[in-house]
Amino acid sequence: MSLYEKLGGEAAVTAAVDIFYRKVLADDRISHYFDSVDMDGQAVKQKAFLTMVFGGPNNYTGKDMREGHKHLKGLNDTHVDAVIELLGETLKELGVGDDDIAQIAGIANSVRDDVLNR
Amino acid sequence: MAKLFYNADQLDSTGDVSVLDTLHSAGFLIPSSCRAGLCHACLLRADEGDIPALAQKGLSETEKRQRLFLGCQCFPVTDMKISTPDASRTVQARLLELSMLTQDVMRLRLKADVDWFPGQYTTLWKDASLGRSYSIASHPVRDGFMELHIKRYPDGMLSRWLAEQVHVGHELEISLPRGSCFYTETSSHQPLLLACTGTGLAPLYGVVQDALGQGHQRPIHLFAAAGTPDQLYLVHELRLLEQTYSNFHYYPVCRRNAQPNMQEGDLVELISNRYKDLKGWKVFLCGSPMAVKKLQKKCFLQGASMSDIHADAFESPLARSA
Repeated sequence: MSLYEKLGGEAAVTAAVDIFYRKVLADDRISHYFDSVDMDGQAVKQKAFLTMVFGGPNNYTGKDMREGHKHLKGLNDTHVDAVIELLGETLKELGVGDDDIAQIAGIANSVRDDVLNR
Repeated sequence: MAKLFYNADQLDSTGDVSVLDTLHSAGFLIPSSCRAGLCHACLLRADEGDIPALAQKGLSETEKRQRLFLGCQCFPVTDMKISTPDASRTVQARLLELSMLTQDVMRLRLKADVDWFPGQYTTLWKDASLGRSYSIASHPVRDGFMELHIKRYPDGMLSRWLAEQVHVGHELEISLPRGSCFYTETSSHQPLLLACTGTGLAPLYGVVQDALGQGHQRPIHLFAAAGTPDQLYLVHELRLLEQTYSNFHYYPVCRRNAQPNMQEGDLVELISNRYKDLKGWKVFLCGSPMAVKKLQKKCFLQGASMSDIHADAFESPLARSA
């Protein structure tokens, strides 16, 4: 069974999006990057991101990730760290075990260079 | 072998090839992106035929009710007649009634041979290039006519034309109704919070009446905001509804000069102060983009699920009069 299936598949992602996105919007370190975005569109993107890091079916391309972040001024490692931290808190709230959280954080971390366009 | 009917064409589908791929192979340009059922770029509509469950996985109830499905996840088991949603088809609608709800809000009632869910919107066309979208306040069967609330702007090309040159009995051109702002019975267990500014009341009036008509038992709270009391409308009708249904509450809000039975202040503040925990609520927001966007964020941060918030930001008057 894949990690995605073990976590509960699409229903788990849907539950995680709400918790994760709410944390992102409430976090002063990164919330300003989300002030002017369309929330519905953003939720769809977050769902795709979480599906990917959960190991679910996805069509991730580093190019999309690069395009989607390159206009964000001042974006650096601390912002990526914050996102991974909030992702971990989200998973903890959902009752995901530490080992699985570490694995998911690892996948999220693997797109760091794409997000930061380097 | 199932057959696909798309526009005037008939295509063979083997069941192990997705509708999206079948259409692409036949040379049709259908937007698509992730091909994993996540991005929803390849949304199509099934006009006839069975939709496999997988093809609607992850779609909202309102999308399912409109028979929308994901082309990349659809492996047909029966013949299907499909179309691209929001096709620019238009129909004729006859103007039954034009009256004023306030000094500058018109009520149009139209007779058109189309179906819709109260709260969806249509586009009304002056000519081939000039159209404006308006939400629908009425029910196709219970009311039998399509009701639109249209704010008149001094320089509004469409609203001025309507006010000055269109008369009862005229045939107008409208697009097929669309949009996901409407009530579904899957919300019957949820309390509803509806908030609007100005003519954002049109879709919400439709949603409220539809919910009550479908026997919604949980609380329904409607906030309608305007600058001053004379800009509020349907006040009498909503008060009557409030007397008839004990679970429905109507809260008129004015920026200034509120009368005794109204609240005075900022809609966003009033709602965020009053509804500290919106977990489990279904929320409908319509009207000025600024208020809708602020409320969408507030309601989400205060517990409503993203998928339970319908936010319909109307174009600004400036964009509308352009």
